[in-house]
Amino acid sequence: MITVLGGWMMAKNLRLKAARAVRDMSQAKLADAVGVTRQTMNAIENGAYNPSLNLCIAICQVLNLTLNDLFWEEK
Amino acid sequence: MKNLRYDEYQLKNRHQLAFQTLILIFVLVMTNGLLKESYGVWAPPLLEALILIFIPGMYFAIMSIAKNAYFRKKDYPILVIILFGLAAVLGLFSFVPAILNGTFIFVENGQLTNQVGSLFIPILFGGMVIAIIVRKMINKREDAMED
Repeated sequence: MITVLGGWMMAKNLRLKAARAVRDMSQAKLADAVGVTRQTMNAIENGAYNPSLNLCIAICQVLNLTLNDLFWEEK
Repeated sequence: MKNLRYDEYQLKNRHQLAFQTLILIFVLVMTNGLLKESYGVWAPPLLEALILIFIPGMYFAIMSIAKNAYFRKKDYPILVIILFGLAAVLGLFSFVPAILNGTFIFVENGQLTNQVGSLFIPILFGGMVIAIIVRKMINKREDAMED
């Protein structure tokens, strides 16, 4: 579940994937709702890209969740 | 957040590719200098400049297509495929007859000839069309798997 990217270890965002699945939303639909491409959403879920705070907030608003629910990682 | 511009992941990829392209330009300019120093003039000045621009330009275009960073969401890849395909086919007409006649000369007096320049358009646009089609097919397969 860990992706190595440019020396950084990034975990897959399974919570985002699960939240999307609960709402029966495809990556493409969520991507459209927040104004990015499906490939960008895929990269976020796979841990290949660390999204900006603006994009995180937009995703949370569409999924009606908080930043903690989707993006906060306990050490 | 509407889809008028590249999204942030596309921008990140484009910045990364732009930096790689810059490094490629440094390498090509250096190689060109060393080649001229050791071998001498290898192409007419205009062709030499075109080659030094063409290689990094093509690298950036093809790689940004491969990384989904060439088209914005509002763009129409099909229209681009048609236009670029047309440009590639028209470009073919500029040198294929000469090759068939046997009048196309690649190298003369140890230098590339200006005729080589006519290969650039079909190679660039043909390469981009192929890259766009392959990328679209991969995206379609990924979409189908995701659904």
